[in-house]
Amino acid sequence: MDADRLFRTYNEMLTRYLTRRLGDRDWAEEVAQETFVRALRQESVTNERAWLFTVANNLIRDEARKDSRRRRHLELLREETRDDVVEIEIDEGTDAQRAHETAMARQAVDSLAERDRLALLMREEGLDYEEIAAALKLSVGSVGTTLSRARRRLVEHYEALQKLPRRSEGHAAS
Amino acid sequence: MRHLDEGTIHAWLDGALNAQKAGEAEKHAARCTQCAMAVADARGFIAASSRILLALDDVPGGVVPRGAGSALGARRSATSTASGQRVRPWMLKVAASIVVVAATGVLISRSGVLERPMAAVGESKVAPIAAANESVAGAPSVTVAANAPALTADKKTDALLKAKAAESTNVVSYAAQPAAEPVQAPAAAPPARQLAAAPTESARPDTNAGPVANQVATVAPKITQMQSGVADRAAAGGAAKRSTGSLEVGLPPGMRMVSEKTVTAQARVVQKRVYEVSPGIEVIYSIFEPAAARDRAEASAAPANDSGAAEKDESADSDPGVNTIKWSDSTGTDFMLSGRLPLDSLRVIRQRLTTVHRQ
Repeated sequence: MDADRLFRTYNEMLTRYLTRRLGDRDWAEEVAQETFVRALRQESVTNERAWLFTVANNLIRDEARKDSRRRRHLELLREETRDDVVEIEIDEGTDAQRAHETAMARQAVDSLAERDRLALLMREEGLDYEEIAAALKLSVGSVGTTLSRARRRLVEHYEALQKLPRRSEGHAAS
Repeated sequence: MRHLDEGTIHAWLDGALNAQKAGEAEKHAARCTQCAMAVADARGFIAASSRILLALDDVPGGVVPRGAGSALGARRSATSTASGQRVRPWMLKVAASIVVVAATGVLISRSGVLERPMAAVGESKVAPIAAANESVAGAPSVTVAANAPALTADKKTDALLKAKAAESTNVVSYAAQPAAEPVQAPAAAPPARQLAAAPTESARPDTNAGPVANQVATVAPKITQMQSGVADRAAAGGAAKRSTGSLEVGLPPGMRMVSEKTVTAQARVVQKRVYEVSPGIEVIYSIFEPAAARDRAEASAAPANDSGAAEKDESADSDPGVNTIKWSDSTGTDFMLSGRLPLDSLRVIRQRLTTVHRQ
């Protein structure tokens, strides 16, 4: 297998997919690297993109089973939100609004069922219905339904979160 | 024709229907108001969901500190930038293999109790960054690499495969892209290939050292940059940060502070520091400014000191994996340490942190 071509073609999209899925870029890059190493050991695959995403999904699943330490970012965020604090960011360039939107997006995505979330994230990376079906072991005909459900729920959940008062605003009001 | 179901509409809009079915859907939507509205809704959901997912590319800062923070971060090439002080996982693995003897020597030579629990919670295949830095700085890395016994043939192959893939693609694409963050010293941020061509004196490759050593020559300057980058970031923190440099110096191998910020909680200023105690394991160390005198008087009912008499163990109720210990010292300063570690390990870390804090 042409490692250089494979890496050049798919690394960016695979890393972005994994970053969106995991919320941890370091972990995403690590999984992506490991995925390409696995690919190097393959003689050939029929559908490269679907194969890469499937292997990456499997790596995450296996890793999650044996080691939950990778969820540290969520734990830390949860730990932060447990403290009843008004945060004063010191770091220059911190955009509170952007951070708030990111947190809402993460929460909305995490609220989706696993299959819906993966289908949506893979579709956003340009995988076609056949590739998504192959990676998730779905029938091609059900991918549209899966995606429509995922998109609707994501947007509805996100909009619901937007209507909630922000923590900092609540403190300011009080 | 029956109304279009939502899945069909999305498949049509995604271009997943064949020409015949797409034509039928289009014709039906053109004459059916209800389905036309459903199509409009679907377009809205597709666009909105894409916008929402874009926000996920902004990895939270301070949690994954190296190179995080840009909205386009994940769209950048997955490459190190000297300004971002990112170090690739494969670099760490290669560096870890290189310095395993030296790092082991450091751990063995230290009689403190901290190293053991930290080693227990980390992954042995990835050496702590601080240990790698320390060893690279202290010994000519090429010599170590050429004689490194820990690099098995299989690991060599993996490392080289990863290095090859990264070097042949990441580095090139990095060179073609602008740095995502302001570069303080352009000369200090060349792409890895340039570094390989002009290594630092301590990492200059021995022509007889073989391919592994040459890889090291590429990695070692990056690690040195990362080390100096940590100091730069610490210095950039300004007056709000408290003696970051000395704290880093006093930390044990494998432990480093990855972020620090000041918050207020219940009218008290709190310094929150995130330490990586081993690869992938982080703890939050919170230092609460001394409470008001009346608060201290109330607290005096329970003897408080920094030797552990006032220590309180708490397991996070929302996450059973996260443990927390709290304690106070004689000045009324309260401390809290939490992380996904056993309480015993947290106490050991606490002991080390409070020792450093006093220095």
